[in-house]
Amino acid sequence: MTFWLNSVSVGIVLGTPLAYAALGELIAERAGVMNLGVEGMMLIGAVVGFIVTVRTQNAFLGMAGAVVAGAALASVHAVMTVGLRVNQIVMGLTLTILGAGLSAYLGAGYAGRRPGGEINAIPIPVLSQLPVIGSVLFNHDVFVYAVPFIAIGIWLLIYRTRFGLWLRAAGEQPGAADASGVPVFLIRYLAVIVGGGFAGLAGAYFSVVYTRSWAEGMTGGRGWIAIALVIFGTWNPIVVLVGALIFGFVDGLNFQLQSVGVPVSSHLLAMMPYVFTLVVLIITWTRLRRRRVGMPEALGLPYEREAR
Amino acid sequence: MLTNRANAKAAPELGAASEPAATVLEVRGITKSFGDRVANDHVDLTLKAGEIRALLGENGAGKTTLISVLCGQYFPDSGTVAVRGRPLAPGSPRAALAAGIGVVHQDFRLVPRFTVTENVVLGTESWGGRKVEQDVAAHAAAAGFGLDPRAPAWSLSVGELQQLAILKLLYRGLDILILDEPTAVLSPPQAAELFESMRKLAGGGRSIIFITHRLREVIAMADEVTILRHGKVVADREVAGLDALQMSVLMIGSDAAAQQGASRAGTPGEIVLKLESATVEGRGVRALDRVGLEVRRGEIVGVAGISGNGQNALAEVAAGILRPIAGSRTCIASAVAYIPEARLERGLVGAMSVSENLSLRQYLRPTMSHPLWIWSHRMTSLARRLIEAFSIPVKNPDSRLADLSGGGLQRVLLARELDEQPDLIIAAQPTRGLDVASSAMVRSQLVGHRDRGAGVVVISEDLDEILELSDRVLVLFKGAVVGEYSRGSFDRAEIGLRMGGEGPD
Repeated sequence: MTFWLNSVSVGIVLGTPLAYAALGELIAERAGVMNLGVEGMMLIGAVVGFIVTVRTQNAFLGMAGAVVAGAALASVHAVMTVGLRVNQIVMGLTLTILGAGLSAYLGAGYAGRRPGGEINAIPIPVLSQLPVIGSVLFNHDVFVYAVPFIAIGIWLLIYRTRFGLWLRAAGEQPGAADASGVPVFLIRYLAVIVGGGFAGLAGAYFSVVYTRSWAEGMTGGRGWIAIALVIFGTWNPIVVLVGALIFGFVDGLNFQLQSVGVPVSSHLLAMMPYVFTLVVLIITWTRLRRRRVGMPEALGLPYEREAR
Repeated sequence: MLTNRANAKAAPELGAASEPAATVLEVRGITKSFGDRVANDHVDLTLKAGEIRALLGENGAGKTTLISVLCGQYFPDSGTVAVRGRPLAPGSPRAALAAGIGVVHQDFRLVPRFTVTENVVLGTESWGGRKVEQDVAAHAAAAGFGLDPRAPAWSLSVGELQQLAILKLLYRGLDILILDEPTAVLSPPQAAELFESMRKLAGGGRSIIFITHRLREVIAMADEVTILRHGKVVADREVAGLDALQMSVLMIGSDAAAQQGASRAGTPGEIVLKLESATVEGRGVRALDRVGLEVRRGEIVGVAGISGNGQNALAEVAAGILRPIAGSRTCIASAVAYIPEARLERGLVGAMSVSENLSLRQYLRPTMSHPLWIWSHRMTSLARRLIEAFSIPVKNPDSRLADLSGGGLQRVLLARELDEQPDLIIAAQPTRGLDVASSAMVRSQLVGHRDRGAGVVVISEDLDEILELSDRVLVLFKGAVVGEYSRGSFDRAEIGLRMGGEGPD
């Protein structure tokens, strides 16, 4: 029983950064821009968040710095793909490589150091005293508590506001949106940059909040899982959040199983989230192909007003 | 931010057009080039309140370029546009909308996954919601459109999509309405309905420009006409006193139009292709529903119908590319020529050279190749012969195919497909988007091969073309044959009705 409760608790913590990164990618993709650079933006967020925390001894300033860093890297993607209409796939891969290299360079002197500032769990009064679920659900940090509200907020933004209508139009039919007077380029720039901010925050969550240390390549491919989660969640923020938590659980199970000494190679256990990703993608994709739900029609296509 | 002009001020009501001769739109000297092709060459145009003006011209005459400049999609090289005396900022769709200019594009520019309401309010202050839905429904009812504000756009018929595109402009209170080939996708009865709406709108004080290349429509609908040829205005006058022949001479530039007329009849021989209750499923609907078709040597069978009624499936089944799920296809032709509707996607390889494209049917012959290599000089000499015979506009057989114009592409396709003297020819939309010379060449080739003894199937949206060429006419509607006529008993009006799924029964 304790084993499973621990797994759920760890799963929630591990799922949170995945959710932030995936929600950010969702915003960009809803505007029609695929950004495969999530992993790179997460690493930059992780290193910048860590450095700012060490320098200021304030973890919240560190998280803010990570948001700015992720957004800054994403703005490169925006300029290249929206402004100059470079192929989005190629540019996204470039961004991942750039982020990995740049973060290793920036973080060179920070490996093995302690961050100084901390973000601690805030047990919610009364609720955290509930038997069984109290400690599992209501003894976390503020970023965990915020994530469901952010997912619901993004859902409302997309489906219940003018900005959301314009965002969807830019991702579905940019030509129709432009002809209707929607500032397609502005929307796409904004969506990509905001999405990058989310990825930066997700990266810093690993370095500043969860492991409280910096190591090269520490996000370990979770940026790619975040991209897969957007597809798994059929571009719906609520489903994406649920998916992120499930993946977080599978990811956490790996550590839990290792700690209780399951007689399976730790390398095989560490593969679980990725195998799970593969299985889920196959299932989702066959469903998508049949019903074509969710996927923005102009995803990945640059928009040019005078194209003939 | 764009305001919803309909809410800001009352929409003009019937009879409220107080100043009858006020100029609302003034276009002066618009020039727009693409590379070294001048699409618009110092074009002038004026539009008065309550006026319906036709913009007439052949494909490629520059009509669509001009309206793309008017709605801010294209930035003109030079020239000015003024709306009610105020200059319009060039290259800005938002500025054009704010000035009251609205375009119903040929492809409608709607978002299929959005509801009717979402499509209507896109670009205004609003995002939708219950109240706005009611407002949109009210506007639709006022315009006489039976649109459900909650229906997704993908579920609408073509006629409804067009109503939605018009409603979008009316909701915003735009009063300079530009319709780009509005009747191209409509059946004759639907077109009549559209004309009714257009008259009502003009009567209410709005001004309308509609683009067409159909003379009949200009005479029926327009007060004034501007005729474009090769990007230049060749006529700008009132329609009264002009007849179809005069207009076509202005449009085409010679009296070639007068020579068009019914071609001679063919002499049908044995059956080369027979389809028996051929059925094809596509995307959950019947793309082709128990279609029977017989094609004899020496006859042209025309298939009339509005695009999207099973033409693609019929063409591919007839050509033997697609296997029907039920029914049979019997074909005794030794060579089948297929001229697909999507020339570059299905017919030719854009990234390869003209000569490579021309040899695609013949490169495996011993005269052309050896199992290990291709005699490239033989390929080139074949290409030179065909370039000459079909007047393909290239100097070098090795030039890239994709650089050719629409007419050039179709000539390459015809040359490749017809060189083997096929017994059966399937031609889908063979003259769509072509200039007059290329169209005439395509038609004379089809007639020539019929006279040689080939069976020909011509699938076309252009009813005039079908009636001119065919020995027999089938009408396709929702994947089924809904009418069959022989030469001599062609009834234009009845065929038109059947194309729209109506007609006497």
